[in-house]
Amino acid sequence: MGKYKLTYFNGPGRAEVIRLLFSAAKVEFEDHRFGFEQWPTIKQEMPFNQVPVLYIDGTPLCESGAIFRYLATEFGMNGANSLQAAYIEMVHGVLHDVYSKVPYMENDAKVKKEKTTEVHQEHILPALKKIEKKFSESKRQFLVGDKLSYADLKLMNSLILTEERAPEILPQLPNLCALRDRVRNLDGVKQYLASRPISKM
Amino acid sequence: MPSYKLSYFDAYGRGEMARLLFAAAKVEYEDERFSFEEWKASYKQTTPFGYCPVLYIDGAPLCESGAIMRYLAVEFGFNGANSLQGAYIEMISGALSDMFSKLPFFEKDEKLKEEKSRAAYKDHILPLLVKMEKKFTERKCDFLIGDKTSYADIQLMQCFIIAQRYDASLLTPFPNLVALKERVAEIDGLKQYLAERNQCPF
Repeated sequence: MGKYKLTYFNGPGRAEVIRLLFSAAKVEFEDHRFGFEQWPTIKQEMPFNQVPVLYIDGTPLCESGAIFRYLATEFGMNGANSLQAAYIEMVHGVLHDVYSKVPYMENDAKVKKEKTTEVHQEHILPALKKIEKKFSESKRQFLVGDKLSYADLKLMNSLILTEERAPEILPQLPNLCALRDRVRNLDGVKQYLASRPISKM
Repeated sequence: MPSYKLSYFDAYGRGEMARLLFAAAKVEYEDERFSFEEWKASYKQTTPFGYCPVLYIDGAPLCESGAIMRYLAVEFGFNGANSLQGAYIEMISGALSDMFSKLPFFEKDEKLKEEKSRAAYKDHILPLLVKMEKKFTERKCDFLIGDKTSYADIQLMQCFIIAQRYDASLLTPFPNLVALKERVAEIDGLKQYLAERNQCPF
């Protein structure tokens, strides 16, 4: 095994920010993805019966936050000091909270579409408008500090989902959309986005 | 040192880890607490995203309980000696949060609450503690990670206080973790805070 192996479902979920960090840092990793039918077996092998798990030279690290914050620190994408790191965690946390309300596992397409639109109107748009306001006032190139952080990667990935499922809200977020476009065109990120499996979730 | 104010419900919930860190570090802060009615009527609108807790650092708001907890842990030296230790500390903290969050804090029906609590311990919490006790015993160290108190040790203490309040006999299979909890509860600063703090249902 190389230095890093990530084990997760074949979907974005709690692993996508991790994969984006490796891509942005241009660090190689084994992107082990399994299907739902394999989960009962794999679950028993995981240290806390959960995924994602990151193997670092064979030693497992669990909990998505622990994984992506560790990698972000190693790759210089966790701010310049502890206060910036705290704001990065805050923005990522808010984005995670609001986007986790999207009914990813809903099987009825009509219900899924309706609920997704509702979640965007009631939760996602209000949060993003606040972030847009602060971001445009700051006149910065990145959400926190003056370099790429995992909060920017999360923002980009979230807005890509919104492009597909609720694009009507995007005209209210011009600066965040500009940031999304800068990040999606970064070397490393661009190639990963072009090659990643399309998610059905 | 900046001036600190923590703003949260009069409850443990997502605010207590910050209070415990201030206590263990013996750092002064304003411990602002409000009721649910006060939250809805006025406090909510003053927060960055309509959530609490909020930590005001020289008046500037920081929200998201994880961000607050990890910021204070780093500032006060409770985040391990390096980034890999920090990762393992977050891993344990996350695992404890995941399992203890399955407790039915808001269940109003007493009978249902008891059933759900039993199930949460049996299906989620105790299996985690079995794994943790095993690893911790093998490690032969006084702390969960590294060689000094981290916020994972403090969080374990708080979780065990909750568990012991429910049914102390559930923790008999975990003597080394219980001993760790007892040691952490004796830390100067924490000890006084634990003796004085409001007893909250959750």
